[in-house]
Amino acid sequence: MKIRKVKFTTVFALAILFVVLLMTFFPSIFTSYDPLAVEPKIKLQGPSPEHFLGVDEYGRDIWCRLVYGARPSIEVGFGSALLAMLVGVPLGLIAGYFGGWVDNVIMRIMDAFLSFPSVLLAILLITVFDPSVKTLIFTITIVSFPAYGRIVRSSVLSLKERDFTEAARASGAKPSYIMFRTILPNCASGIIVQFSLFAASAILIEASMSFLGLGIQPPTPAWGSMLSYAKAYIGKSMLYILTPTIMIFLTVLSINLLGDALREWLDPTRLK
Amino acid sequence: MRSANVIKYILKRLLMAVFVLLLVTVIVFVAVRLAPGDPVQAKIGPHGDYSPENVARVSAALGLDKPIYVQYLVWVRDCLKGSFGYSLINGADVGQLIAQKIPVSMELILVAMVLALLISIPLGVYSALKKGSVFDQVVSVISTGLLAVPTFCVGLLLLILISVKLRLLPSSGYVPFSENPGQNLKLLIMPALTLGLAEQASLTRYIRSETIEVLNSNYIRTARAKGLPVKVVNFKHAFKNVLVTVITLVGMRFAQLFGGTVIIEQLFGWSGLGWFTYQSIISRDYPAVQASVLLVAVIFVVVNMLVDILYAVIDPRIKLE
Repeated sequence: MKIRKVKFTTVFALAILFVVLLMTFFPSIFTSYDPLAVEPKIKLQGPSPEHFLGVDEYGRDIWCRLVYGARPSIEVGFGSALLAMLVGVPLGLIAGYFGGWVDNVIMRIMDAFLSFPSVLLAILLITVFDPSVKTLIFTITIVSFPAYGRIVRSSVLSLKERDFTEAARASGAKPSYIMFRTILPNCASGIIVQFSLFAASAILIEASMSFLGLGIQPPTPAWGSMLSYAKAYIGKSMLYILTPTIMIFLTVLSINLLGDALREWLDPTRLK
Repeated sequence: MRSANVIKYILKRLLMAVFVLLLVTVIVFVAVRLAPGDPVQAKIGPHGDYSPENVARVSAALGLDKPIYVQYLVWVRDCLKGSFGYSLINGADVGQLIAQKIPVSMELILVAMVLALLISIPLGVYSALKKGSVFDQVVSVISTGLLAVPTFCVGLLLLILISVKLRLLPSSGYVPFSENPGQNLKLLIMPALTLGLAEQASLTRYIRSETIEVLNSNYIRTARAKGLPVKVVNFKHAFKNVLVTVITLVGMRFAQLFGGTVIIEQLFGWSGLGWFTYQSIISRDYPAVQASVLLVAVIFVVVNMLVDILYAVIDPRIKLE
């Protein structure tokens, strides 16, 4: 009974994510409209046979903009989770493995970055550069790599005392070999689970930034920035405000659910 | 023996905090200096005097003619003296501006936190006691759902429901409590509820797992084995221990909430510190940005340090590295 239920949410999450990925790479399967095509005559019109979710304040098809809006979310979400992993994991490995002053310096630098609330640091960094997908990825990486490093470090601390590490050391392996070939594979499952959590939170930060006008710039469609425009027509067009929210919700929810499923799948001892 | 260790730990923790704070100042300073926009231009204004002499004079007055590391040291020295510089927009003392904004945000954060606790403690504890029940599953679905939407979306949905559809509350703005208490509270409800709901989701999850862990621990089993009534075990023994963890968690979330207010205060026009920080960033008001971001980071570092130290003093099981 219980196993079935887990499978259902996982299948649901995989299905949603698959559709969102299709939207990211092949948006034209879902819509024949141009997300930038302006049609002022029909602005803010409700659902119609031509535009089943209605149109926005420039007469652009909302469904079409939702479909094209998947791209920045996915790019920023997975891009920054990946980059944060590439930066955070080696730092955590080195800090945990060598200990002493190396550990101290690396960890204090990470602490300094962790001392800012993430959205605030992201806002501060984004003003330094022009807002774009690349800037968002860079910014969210800076905001999240320290947490990655911390998690890796704490698992390295316990793994380096284990017999198999001891054995590798006794057989004369170099530190780099021990770190990347002996210890890293053993914390891989934790890293993969974290990857999904970071991707989900990166999508939320991207949406917040775009909502504030510091993320994806108009007229490029993005869910967060659609919401910041929709806010002005809050009483007039309900679908305009609800649909981007639903897209963010479904995407983040399915990534979180997949993360949970991965955690259970990779770690059989954590049965609840 | 232990007290000597505790003192050594506290000193070490203090030293760490000082080092982190130094790095924080460097990050803030560098980020703000790298930001585009010219403070000299901002000071002179679009129609001012742009002769080389005047530009040199203004940049000297702002201290921008000195090498960058001197500017940094001067800034740190001034901050330590309690002078955070003057706004480039209106020349007001930034320290004073921020001091006015703190209570505004504090009111919002405190009420949001209380709301979050009022929701999450009963929900978390009850779902732990009834683990696996329908109630537990419903609570878990709701908090999983809430964690998957950005906070501002929750705010937007509340706006639609309460302000647009039901017309119960004004949609945005801020009025000081001393001026008009009723209006202040009316305007407070939605932003506080938004922050509180978002906060509640993670708190509930945390309290639930913490309660389950405590209920499975040996001393609870002993208390039960002694034949104590279930209620006494749950409330006198288990709940107390859960509460200690909740308090530390609240302390740490508190500082994080200052960051969360940036978007929510923006959305509801609640002119607190988050709103002020965002406005200063948009208008490239360097001293104001520096001071407000630094302040939030300092609160964060100090609170974290105090939590760590308190833990070490209170809980003898904590290992002091």
